[in-house]
Amino acid sequence: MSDEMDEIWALYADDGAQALDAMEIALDALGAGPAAATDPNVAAFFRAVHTFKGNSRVLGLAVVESRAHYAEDLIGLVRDQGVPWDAEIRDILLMAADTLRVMLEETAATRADVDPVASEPLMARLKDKIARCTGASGAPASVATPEPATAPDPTPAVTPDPAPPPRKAKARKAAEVAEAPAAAPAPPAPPPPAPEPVAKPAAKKQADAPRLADDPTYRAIFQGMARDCLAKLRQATGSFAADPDAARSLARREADGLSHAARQMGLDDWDAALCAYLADADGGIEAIAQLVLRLEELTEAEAGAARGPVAPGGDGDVSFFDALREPLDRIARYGTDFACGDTPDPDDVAAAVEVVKAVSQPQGFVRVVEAADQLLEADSAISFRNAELHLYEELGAVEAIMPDAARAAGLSPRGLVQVWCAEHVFDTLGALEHNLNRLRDPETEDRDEEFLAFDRLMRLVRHACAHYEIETAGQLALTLVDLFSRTHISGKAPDAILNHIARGFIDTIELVFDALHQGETPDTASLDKLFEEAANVAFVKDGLVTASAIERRLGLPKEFHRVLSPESVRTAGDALDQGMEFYVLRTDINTDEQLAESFIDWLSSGQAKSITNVTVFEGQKTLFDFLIATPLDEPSLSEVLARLDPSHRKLVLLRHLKPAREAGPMADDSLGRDADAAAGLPTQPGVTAEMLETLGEIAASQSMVSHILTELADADLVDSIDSILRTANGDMRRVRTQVRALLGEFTSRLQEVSQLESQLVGQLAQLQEETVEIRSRRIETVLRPLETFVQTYSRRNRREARFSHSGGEISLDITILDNLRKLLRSLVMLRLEQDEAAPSSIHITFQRDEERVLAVFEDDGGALESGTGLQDIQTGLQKMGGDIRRVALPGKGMRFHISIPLAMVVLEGMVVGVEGVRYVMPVDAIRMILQPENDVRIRISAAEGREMLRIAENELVTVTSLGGAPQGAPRAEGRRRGVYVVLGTQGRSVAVPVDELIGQQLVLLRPLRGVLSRIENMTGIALLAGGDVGMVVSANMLCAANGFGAGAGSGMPSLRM
Amino acid sequence: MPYNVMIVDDAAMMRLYIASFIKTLPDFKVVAQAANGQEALDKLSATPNVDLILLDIEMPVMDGLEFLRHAKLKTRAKICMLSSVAVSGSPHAAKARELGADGVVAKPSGTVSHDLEEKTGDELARTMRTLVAA
Repeated sequence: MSDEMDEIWALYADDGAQALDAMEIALDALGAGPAAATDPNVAAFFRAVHTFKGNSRVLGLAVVESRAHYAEDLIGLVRDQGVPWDAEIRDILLMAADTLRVMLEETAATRADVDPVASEPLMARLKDKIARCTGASGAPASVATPEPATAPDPTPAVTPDPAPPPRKAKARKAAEVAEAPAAAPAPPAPPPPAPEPVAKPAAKKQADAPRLADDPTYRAIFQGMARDCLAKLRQATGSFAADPDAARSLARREADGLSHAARQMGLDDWDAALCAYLADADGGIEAIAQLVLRLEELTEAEAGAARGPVAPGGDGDVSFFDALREPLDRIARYGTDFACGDTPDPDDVAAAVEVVKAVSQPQGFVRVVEAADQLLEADSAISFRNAELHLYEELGAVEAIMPDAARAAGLSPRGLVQVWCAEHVFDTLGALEHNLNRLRDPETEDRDEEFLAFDRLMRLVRHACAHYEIETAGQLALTLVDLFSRTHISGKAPDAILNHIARGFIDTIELVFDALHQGETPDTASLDKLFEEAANVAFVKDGLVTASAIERRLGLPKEFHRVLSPESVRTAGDALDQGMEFYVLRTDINTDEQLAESFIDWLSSGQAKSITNVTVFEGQKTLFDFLIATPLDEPSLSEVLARLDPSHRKLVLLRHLKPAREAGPMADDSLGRDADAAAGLPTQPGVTAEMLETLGEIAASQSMVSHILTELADADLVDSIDSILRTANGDMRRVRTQVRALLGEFTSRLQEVSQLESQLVGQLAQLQEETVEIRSRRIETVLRPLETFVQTYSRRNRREARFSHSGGEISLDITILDNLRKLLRSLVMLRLEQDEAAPSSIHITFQRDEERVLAVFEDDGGALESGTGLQDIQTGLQKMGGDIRRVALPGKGMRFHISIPLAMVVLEGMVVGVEGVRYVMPVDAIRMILQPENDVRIRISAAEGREMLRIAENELVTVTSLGGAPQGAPRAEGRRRGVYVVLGTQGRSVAVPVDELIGQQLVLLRPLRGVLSRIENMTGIALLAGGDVGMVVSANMLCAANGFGAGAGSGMPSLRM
Repeated sequence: MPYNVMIVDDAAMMRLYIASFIKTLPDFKVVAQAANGQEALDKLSATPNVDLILLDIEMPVMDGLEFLRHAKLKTRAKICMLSSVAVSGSPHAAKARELGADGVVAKPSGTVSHDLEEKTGDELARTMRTLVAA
């Protein structure tokens, strides 16, 4: 890299010195005048100063460039505007040449721009002379300036103040390397306004190497040179007879010069023609004449190419862009003045703005007018540059609808914006990073402003991507604009995943630009992966992960691909769960309001569900294809359609889709429902669309965490710090700064992981709640079919039996319900088969506590002795850990007390922490949560010295610990147990001290089995959000064992041996 | 004074649904409707005081994106894409953003979404209000 930079700066110094020599020779030759505008020395000076200016620009030497720029303007007045050459101009240009030489030496030595103050006298003289020559008060309004409309801005950013520091000097230098060789040998001639060349993608270079000839500026310069050369060659043919040697010499010199330029430009055909002549040893008059003819052909072809293919009767108005060239030139120059610390005269700016407005207003381009007006409000270099850029963006929008007109006028505002954005992309990326940090910072006050800045900056990156023709990145930038904008409107802050995607994009695209500027082919695989991730984020957020599953499962035609909204996905998922049929209907209802209403009414009536619909253009007609789900079979649906549309033409059944069974979660058992399902009995639940979305989010979050952790693991901090120390040469301040930055970055990534982890915990909690919810059903879902069963079975036995129940609203896990259903059926059958003793009335009452469900089955039938039937029921129940107890009622009737342990119960629990262990307390059993003063804890000697807590004036409850320390034992140093959860059940209460209250959660309780079932005071375990396991406290056991009046002791789990 | 809204959608039923929804928003009023981009451009010049345009994408004659390209030059009205293909992060949504759409909202259940108000009403109203307030 440093070798290349050395070479660039050496080239700059060498070319600059040659250009200055050429300027001085031309000035000497011109003398004090008079001189004609066509004097070759005028052109020579112009070319030389233009080259000098271009080289300075390439290296970012704004002050040097501006001085050369004004000198070029002055000589341009002589060459193009009929301003007579005089001694004053010569003096000023000599002063300019001297000043530029000093600047050249200084900049070549320091590789930095010069202080503008020293050259102020020169600037004053140049401006004054230009103003007098043009009759303008300040800037050369009538000058046909050769300056391209967008000079590179030395100001570091167009972003909101304060502008961030340049992000990557290395990358910027790389840009210089790529740019400099292209610009340094620029042939001297007047260029029209057009973007300066900026490095194009390396990949593109390899396939179709960019040439200076591709740049309109240099093409125009070359055309000028070619014209000059042709004139000299014709002169040589005319004078050949008189002085053949002199003519040959002239022709060879001119051909050699143009050949060199052609090579630089990459114009091979020109070079070939010129080399052919130069290779001719004789080089006589015939060879010269042939060369002239050939060059005339090429000149004509070149002019045609420069004009470009303008479509006849094109959609644009060439005069619009033509009329903008001059005011845009001036605006660009004012921007350069501003950047050099020279505030332009507001009247001059206003004059240029007025021209832009006058051209735009008749076209109705209101936004261009507004953008032009913003220039008037600019009061700093940065605000002026921002306004200028905005104006070009608006003009770029005009160019988008009138591309031919813009091309014909040789003006491309869009191209200029892209060039500018490419040149400043590292500053923009730096600003974006700051912006993202502010968006993430909860302390940020004006988040709206930050969202708007994000939008603006990401669009600038998008322009830079367009310049380099990296479409994937450009698309991703716009996708991020879309995602952030929607987040903004939702009133939320971007979540961790979105932040991660945006940060990843910035990091990756920076490397891509870096590679491009170094002429390398960037690795775009990371970008593609990021794009995929971003798309997934968007899809996960909107349920489109499941959309693709639905597309696959239904075999949707392609017009329905990627159009399913989250709502559509949910509707389709529900319809699949319900085993509905899926159809595509083609409808011609757009012009038949009555039919449209009838059809939509039918869709809304519940007989069918509209999942989505797409537009189909058929000739002049707009048709809609509806994807619907309905329980109706094909003939029934056809009947409905025929009723709605007797013509049979406007509602047509296009396809009957057959949902496929798939492996994985989508292939749930929803299609295989049994008769019980039809009767409303519980079946195994499927995985819902919401659960899939949550699973997708968890997978995405996990992948992010994994990605970042891998990055962090790969980062060799020791090596990085070692490298910093090695390159610092003992400069400890520098070391400190760099190490801080390194560690700051590292910490920031760790925080990101932490944030993602929190997000994961939330998602897991959500998934668990969804899982719990989906397994939970009310008991009445068993009782309704049981009622039907009682009635049917009693009629079969020539009886009439009534059935009633209470407690059907209690929810149980479907496994328990299934057991309960079988058990109750058996008992009902047993009772109804008792002939004369069969009951005429059955009532079942349900209750549930934290450990079991209790059913009381009561009827008015005869007594039931123990027998096979009852024995079978008892055996079945005992296998489940349950029991049945029968009681003969006085008089007539039987009561059965049935107890079934809760194999898996949904529990609303309060998660608490005690000595680092998580416990879950049933919310139903919590009487209160207290943080009492110390003096309400008292020791009661009458109660074996147990510690009690006063929870009300007349109420004391036993304090019972859950942790390892026995109640009453000294606590560990520093432990504070200020919070008590008071549990109450069956008339007894205990106060349990806890270290922390973690929060309320719906959990799935799993009973303790085997040896674990002997743990005291615990019902079971539950998997908590975040992956922790919590012990579920049995309020019943705890209160029974430790409630007031019960025996003393610790409530901590202990084994019953 | 309510904000003036133009609805551009080729589906007649959809225009009805959107107009019906806007009637529920006291701060907005429908002042023009069009069935395609070209018709909308014509009506826009005759109705210069439009504050907000709700724009479908897939339309005959001139689609929403092409309309956006032209309208962004000639009107100060805010433009919100309301289309079934503009789901979050989709290529259509990105293209709309590139061309200068101020807001993008996806229709909930296809190009004709009779459940617009029920399922996307809040989001649409919030977007409309944010845009006109900007």
